[in-house]
Amino acid sequence: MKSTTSELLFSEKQHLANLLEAIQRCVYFLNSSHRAVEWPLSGSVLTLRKKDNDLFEALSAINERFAKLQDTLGSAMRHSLLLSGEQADSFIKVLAIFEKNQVIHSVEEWQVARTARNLAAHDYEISFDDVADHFNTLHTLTHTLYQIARRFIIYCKKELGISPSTPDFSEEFYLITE
Amino acid sequence: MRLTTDQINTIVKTCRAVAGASALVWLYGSRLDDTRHGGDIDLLIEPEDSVSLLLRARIKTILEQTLSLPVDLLVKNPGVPDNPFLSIARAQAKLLEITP
Repeated sequence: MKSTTSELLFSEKQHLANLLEAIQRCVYFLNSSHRAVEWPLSGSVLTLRKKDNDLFEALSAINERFAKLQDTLGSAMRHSLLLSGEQADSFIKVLAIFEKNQVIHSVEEWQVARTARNLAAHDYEISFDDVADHFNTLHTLTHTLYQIARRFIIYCKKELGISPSTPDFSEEFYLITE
Repeated sequence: MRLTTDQINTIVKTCRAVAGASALVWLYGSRLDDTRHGGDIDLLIEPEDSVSLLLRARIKTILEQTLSLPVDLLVKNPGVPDNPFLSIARAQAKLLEITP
């Protein structure tokens, strides 16, 4: 029985370590996509480059990678609470705990990022001005997510003694989120 | 209209705090129908100066947190032509005003 409990604990820790590595990987690839675009975007630039496949592939990747980073961060934050013994029966409670721990500056900051991404998913393709506004917004919010990711990974190391499962993306991660 | 005076005041004050003091705030959709129940709060904002996606997200987040109700937000920025959905929404919308 005892070994089952410790195996379970090991498995939960390993899962968090894998999520932390996934966060670093998301940051690495999201940053690559951002670097492929000249910021800020404007409706007129997008109109001129409307058939530029490389540009629009980078923008599609930003959409997907931004969402993936925020979702993975959310899963990892929720999972880390299991290991720290904190009770959170809703995600808003998870956010409140991480606001208290200064991993996020405010619950509102997190939710604005989520709302912006959802709003954009509904209507960004209607006009090039809207497309530009959408991606400029994600560009601004990406910096916020990077900072949350950095603080969360430091928190996991300090409070739980858990680091990403491999160091493969760590060096770039700390440079990008500096 | 299925909104209380307090809810209307909160909506208008929040929208104007973010989108500008002269922004017009309209209610459309199912909350205008007293015979229905529940549903989102459908709002159309017409600001004097353009409101970005980030500000729209901020308004929606603050209102949903404050009212504990889902909010659907349309923004008609100046200089942007109406689309059919906006025209339909405005045609049956009711302007919200602060009641002291």
